[in-house]
Amino acid sequence: MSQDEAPVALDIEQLSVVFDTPDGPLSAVNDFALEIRRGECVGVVGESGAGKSQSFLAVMGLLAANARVSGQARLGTEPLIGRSIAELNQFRGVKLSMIFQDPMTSLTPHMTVGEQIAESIIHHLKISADAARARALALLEQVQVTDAPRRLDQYPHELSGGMRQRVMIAIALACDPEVLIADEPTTALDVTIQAQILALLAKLKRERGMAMALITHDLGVVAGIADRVAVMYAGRVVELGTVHEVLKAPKHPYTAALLASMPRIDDTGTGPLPAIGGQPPNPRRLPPGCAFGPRCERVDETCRAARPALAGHDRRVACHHPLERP
Amino acid sequence: MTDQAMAAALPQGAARGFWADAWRRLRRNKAAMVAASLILLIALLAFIGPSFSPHSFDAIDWDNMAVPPGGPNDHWLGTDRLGRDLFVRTLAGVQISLQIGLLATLVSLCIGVAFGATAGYLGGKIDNIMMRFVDILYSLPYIFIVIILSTLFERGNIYVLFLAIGAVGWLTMARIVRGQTLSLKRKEFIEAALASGVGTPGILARHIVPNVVGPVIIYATLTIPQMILFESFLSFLGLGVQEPQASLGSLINEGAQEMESAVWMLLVPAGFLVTLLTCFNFLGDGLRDALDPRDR
Repeated sequence: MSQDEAPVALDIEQLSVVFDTPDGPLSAVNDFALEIRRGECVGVVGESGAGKSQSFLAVMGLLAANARVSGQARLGTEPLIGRSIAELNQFRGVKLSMIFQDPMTSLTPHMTVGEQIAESIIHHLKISADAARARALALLEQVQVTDAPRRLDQYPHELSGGMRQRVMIAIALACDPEVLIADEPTTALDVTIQAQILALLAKLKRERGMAMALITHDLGVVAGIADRVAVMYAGRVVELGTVHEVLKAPKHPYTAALLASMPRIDDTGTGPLPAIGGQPPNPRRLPPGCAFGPRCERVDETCRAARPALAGHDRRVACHHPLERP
Repeated sequence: MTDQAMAAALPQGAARGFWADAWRRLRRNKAAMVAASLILLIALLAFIGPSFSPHSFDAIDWDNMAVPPGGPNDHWLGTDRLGRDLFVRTLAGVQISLQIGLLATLVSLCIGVAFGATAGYLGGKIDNIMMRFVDILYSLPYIFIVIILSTLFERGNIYVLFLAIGAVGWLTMARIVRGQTLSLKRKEFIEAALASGVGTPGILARHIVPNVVGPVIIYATLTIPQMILFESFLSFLGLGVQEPQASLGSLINEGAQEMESAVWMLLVPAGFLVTLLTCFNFLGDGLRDALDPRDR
C-alpha cells in the first residue's frame, strides 16, 4: 500500500497511563503502541473506559494532574511525553491538533467564532488580527460553514451543533497540523450531520495529507473513513489491521463480538441483538491472563494463565486462539 | 420571536451576544432601572449642584448658624452648628463617598480578580499558599490595619483611606473568583484551548476572566455600598475624612450630636446615604438577575 511508504507522522510506543486515585493506582492504558503515517486515518475503537481517549490525551499532554505517563510518543522526530507545557505549546494547535467530542461545550461561550479561530492563528503564526480574520474566514469556508462572513461575528450559542463542530474543526486546522486527533467527533451529532462531518474530515485529510487518529466507539464511523483500525480493550490494543481485514475477518473474539452486536440493515431476523455478556474488567483488578477472558466464549486455561501478546507484523492480534478466516 | 426580530434588524450577530442579552433583561427590571437613574442623578447633583449655591462647603455664615431648611435665606437645606451650608456640604460628602466607594471597589476588583483567577487556575500548592495568605488577612481585624495605616501616614489623607479600604476589600472578591475559576478550569472549552496551544496567560486572560465577569460585576456593585458604609464608619470614628472636608459619615457623626435640637443635620446626610445604599443594592440585585447564566 502507498501508505506504507509515507513517513510516520505520529509514533506511539509502549505508552502507559496510570492514575493515582484515593483507592490506589488505576491503570487506564497499558503498553499502547500505534504508528500513524502521513495521509492515513487510523480508527481507534473500543467501549467506554477502554483507554482510547486517555491514550491520546496523554500524547497531547492534557491528562488530569494525578496521571502518570510512561512510554514514548513522537511527532515526526520530536518526543512529546515528559515535555513542559511551554514546549508542548510549540506543537499543540500547530502540528498536532485535537477535536473534541462535545461541540456544545468545547467553544468558549463569550468569544465570537472568528475570535476563537483567530486566537490560535495569531498565537502561533504571529500575524496581524486582520490577516488572522481573513484566514479564519477562509477556514470557515473550507469546513463548509454556510454564510461564513456572518458567522465570524456570531457567538457559539447562535450556532447549531453541526456548525459548532465545523468551527471546532476549523480551529484544529487553523495552523495546518500534520496530525489531527479526532476524539469522537460525531458522537454528539445526529446521524445526517454525522455523515456530513465524516465526509468533510475525509476530504480534508485527503487534501492536506494529514495523519488522523479517529477515536470512536462506532464501527460504522470507522468503516466510513478509516484506512486502518486499532481495537482497544482494557487499556490495550487487541487487534490491528486494515479496515477491510479487521471488519471483514476479525481475528480477536472481542472484535468479532463487537461486530456481531451491530444491527444490520439487511438482517431479517426478529431475534434479540447479540450482546457481549458481562462487564468490562475493573481496571484496578485486571485478571492475570487475557483481560477479555471472563467474557470470551473461547477461553481456556492458557487464556486464564498468560496474557497474549500483540503478535504479527501489519495485521496484529492479541489472542491465544484467534478466529480463523470464515 | 423578538429575539429573531432583533437579530434580523442588526447588521451583525455580535450585538445579540451576552451583553445585549443582559442589558435587555436589566432594562426590564424596573427597580434596578429606577435605582440606576437615581444613582446617576445623585452623582450628577453631587458634582454640579454645589456650583449653583452661593456658598462654599467650608465658608461660615455668621448670621445663619444652625438654621433649619426652608428658612428665609439661601441655605436650601439649612446650616450646621458653625453656619456652614448643609446642601453644599452634603453634596461634597456624597462626592467623597462615591469616589471612595468606586475607587476602593476598583482596587479590590483588580487585586481580587487577578489573585483569585491565578490561584484557582494554577491550583495545587500555589493555590494553597495563596488562599492561606487570604485567610490570614481575613483573620486580622481590619480596623487595626486602617488605624495603623492612618497613623503611619498623614492623618485624614484620603488616598491612604482608599488604599486601606481597597486592600481589605479584595479578599472576598478573590475567594469568589477562585471558586468560579475552579469550576471553569475543567470545562471542555478550556481543554480545547489548551489543545490548540494557548499558554497560561492567554487562558487566564481570554478564557477564564471574561467568564467570571458576571459574578464579579454583581459582587462589585454590592461592594460599593459596603465601601461607602465602611468609609462612613471610619469617618464616624474620626479616622476618615478630616474637617473641614466632609463625607457622608462625618456629617452624620456631627448631625448625631445635634440630633435633639437640630434633627435636619442628621436627616439630610443620612437621607442621601440611605438612598445611595438602597439604590446600589437594588442595582446589584438587578445585575445579578440579568447576568446569572442559570436564568438564561
